[in-house]
Amino acid sequence: MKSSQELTFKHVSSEDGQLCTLDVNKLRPMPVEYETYEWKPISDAQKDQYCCLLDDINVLLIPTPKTIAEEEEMVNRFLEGVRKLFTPENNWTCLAMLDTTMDYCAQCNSCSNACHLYEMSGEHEMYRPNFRSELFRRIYKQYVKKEPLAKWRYGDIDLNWKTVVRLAEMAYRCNLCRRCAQVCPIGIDNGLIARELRKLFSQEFGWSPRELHEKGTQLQLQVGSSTGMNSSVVQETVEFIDEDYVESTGYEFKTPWDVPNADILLIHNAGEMLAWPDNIAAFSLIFEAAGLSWTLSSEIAGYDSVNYGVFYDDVQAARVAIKHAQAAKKLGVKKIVIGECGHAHKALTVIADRILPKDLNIPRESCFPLLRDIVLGGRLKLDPSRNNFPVTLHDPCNLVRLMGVVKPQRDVLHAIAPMFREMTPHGVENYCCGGGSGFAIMTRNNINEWRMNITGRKKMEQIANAFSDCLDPSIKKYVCAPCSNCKGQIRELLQENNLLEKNGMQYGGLVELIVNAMTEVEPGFIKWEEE
Amino acid sequence: MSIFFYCLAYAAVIAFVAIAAMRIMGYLKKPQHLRWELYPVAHESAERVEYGGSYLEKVDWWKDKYHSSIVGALKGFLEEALFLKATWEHNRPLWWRTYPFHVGLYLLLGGMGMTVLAAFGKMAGFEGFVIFCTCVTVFCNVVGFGGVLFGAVGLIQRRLCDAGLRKYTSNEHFFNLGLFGVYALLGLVLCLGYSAWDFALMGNAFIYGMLTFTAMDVAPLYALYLLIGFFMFFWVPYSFLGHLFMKYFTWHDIRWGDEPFISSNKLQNQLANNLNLPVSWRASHIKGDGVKTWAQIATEKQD
Ligand code: SF4
Ligand code: SF4
Repeated sequence: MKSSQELTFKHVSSEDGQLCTLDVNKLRPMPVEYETYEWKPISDAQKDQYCCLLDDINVLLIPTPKTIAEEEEMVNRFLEGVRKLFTPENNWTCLAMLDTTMDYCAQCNSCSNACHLYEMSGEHEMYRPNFRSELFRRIYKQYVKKEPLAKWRYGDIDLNWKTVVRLAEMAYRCNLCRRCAQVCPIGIDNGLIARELRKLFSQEFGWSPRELHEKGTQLQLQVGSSTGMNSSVVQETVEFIDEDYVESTGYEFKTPWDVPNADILLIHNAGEMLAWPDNIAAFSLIFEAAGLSWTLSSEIAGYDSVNYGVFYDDVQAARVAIKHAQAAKKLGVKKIVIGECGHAHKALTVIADRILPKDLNIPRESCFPLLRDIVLGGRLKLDPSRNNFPVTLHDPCNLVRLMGVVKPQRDVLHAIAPMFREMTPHGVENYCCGGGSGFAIMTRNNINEWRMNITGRKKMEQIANAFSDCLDPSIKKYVCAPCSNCKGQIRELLQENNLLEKNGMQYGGLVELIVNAMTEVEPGFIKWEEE
Repeated sequence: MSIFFYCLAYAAVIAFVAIAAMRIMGYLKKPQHLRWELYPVAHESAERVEYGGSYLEKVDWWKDKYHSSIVGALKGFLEEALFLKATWEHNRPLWWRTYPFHVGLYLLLGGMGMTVLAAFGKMAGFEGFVIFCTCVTVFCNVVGFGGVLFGAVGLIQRRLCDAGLRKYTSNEHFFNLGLFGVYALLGLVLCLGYSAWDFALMGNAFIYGMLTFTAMDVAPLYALYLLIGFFMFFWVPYSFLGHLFMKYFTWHDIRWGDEPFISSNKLQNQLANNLNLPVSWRASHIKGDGVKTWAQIATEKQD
């Protein structure tokens, strides 16, 4: 195994077995009591069956090639995939960004310190944003573009099957938060490279994490939701949620389904219905109290805004986006409003904007401006003193850095949460929660340890620092994370470390805080016990 | 010999224009890409630029006309081009080296521009203008060579001594920095040897010769200096140094490319074309055969 100092590009193809490891006991201490998550050993059987060649984490579980012919086939197929990645037909979606990122990086490493993985791994070379990109760049220039004197100019890289599988796994050592791209003086995007590699391996080899593909986009396209809920199950679930929350809030409401020609089709991340029904209820309650014309849809994918395609596969992203738009078109709604889910926001408003054909390009907007207008427009009776506890806001990367929706959620918080305080840094300079790009829904093969030790560490540090003046458990405090995936990740950070009990830290969305302040609702919408 | 030099000079200028044009055209010919913006977007309203907001922060945003502020974009671009703001903010040790290097290059380019103007002035018989241009050229040359030399040496030192940077520094980096360093050193030696004024006049005479097709003799050291300069005319647009002009696209078109589909017929037509491109990705959930289009693959029924 190679240490961070020893690790060079050459080792990616030359080393046998696991390339490197991280000593989790040397990670930066946290401002709150926080566990160290030892890597679970990889069993011999697993090593035999799968290519466990990079570090202690195995996202892709690529079967080990058994013969030289299989090894060669892997390399050839990879090269074929790279060639496709650089053709306008196969990659019109990202070719312009990919080409410039390949050709103009100055190797200045200004991007390194922007990356929370690099920082929180103790600046391990493997997790430097540019490590994966530069390796891919050198392979491309030497083997595909065949630039004159490429070996001399950039350094000779031996391309073999180990390089291929390690590169595939490296594509999943990134949250796709694009914080590195934001600081690049030239406009080069290491996050894009991670995603392009994921695409290559998914679209050419069919290698992708099962949580994103089989149990993600495929399930959603077939059944309607990546939760596995079909149309009737989802309607029943929401009906139960309505009943429960009418009873607990004392406020009469009913979530409307399939209302033709409604003004708004609201699409939730369906995961909320199972994990955070209070979020679903809060939306319904607010929209009903504000007197909006709105509906949910029971069409395939029309009730689940998730689009994991944006994390790994353009074709899947396009398929899911089209389903969303078709559901809206069928109902004849005026617009789609996306609930509290960051990647769904970006997928349907920004990415789908250049995928959907004209007849499906139905206006789509974020729920946050609408919520801001409802709250500031006086359409609800609110008592901010009900939220008289410290609140901080997590900015989902997809919503903020990648979409520019920054202020509406803050306007709401300033109006309803008297003890609101920002994290440092925040807004478009925020750090990813650590669950970004699909990690929030993966736990196997040391991915949970990876999230807890490395990817989520910076966010946990930020949260603890935002509450540094009130860490006492008797003071209840709230991390507002208006995104399902971020909420899932923050839940793990807090619950696994028992931080509600130890430091009084609770988490939830924005709508829950709004309802908590509504005077027409029984006090105590936000619960401070572990459910 | 001098004729040969002049031929090389013409070839260098043609190579620069041709390679730069090829790279720019290569970029522009690519299909319209997905939106991939990063905030702040400099052509948004000043208030939104301040915190990184977008037009998506408004309810029914599509009812407003899409607005892109040229002043904002120019401000964002100039801040980066003139001050290397991102490097200043995120990589200060490098900035102290790369900033003099870049400013030096800008000045040398400016000096070259003034030399061309001086040649035109000479053709038109505007002696006073020629003297003015020459004075500016002298300043640009001396400070420019100094900046480039200081920056090149500093950057080589940084790339050698910073363990993190060392791994990412290829032969080409040393070659580029060495090339610029030697060029600037030769320029300074020539300024010292002939006086900066006479050196500027040599430049004027050379460019005048180029414009009037009258070759003049070139001293050996000056010839070497010119040769390196000619090579750079070819090398800058060819290598990653082409970021000099490609940065316009990476910032303006990609990073700030937030134009919505709804506001542009041109975009709508380009995207309709994209959906008709054939797909050949082989994975089993796609089964592209090089004939089926994106539109067909994205809408076909899944097994
Ligand atoms: S991606 Fe940008 S910041 Fe990072 S090394 Fe390349 S040029 Fe520098
Ligand atoms: S996109 Fe985010 S996680 Fe990935 S390399 Fe860049 S900063 Fe790191």
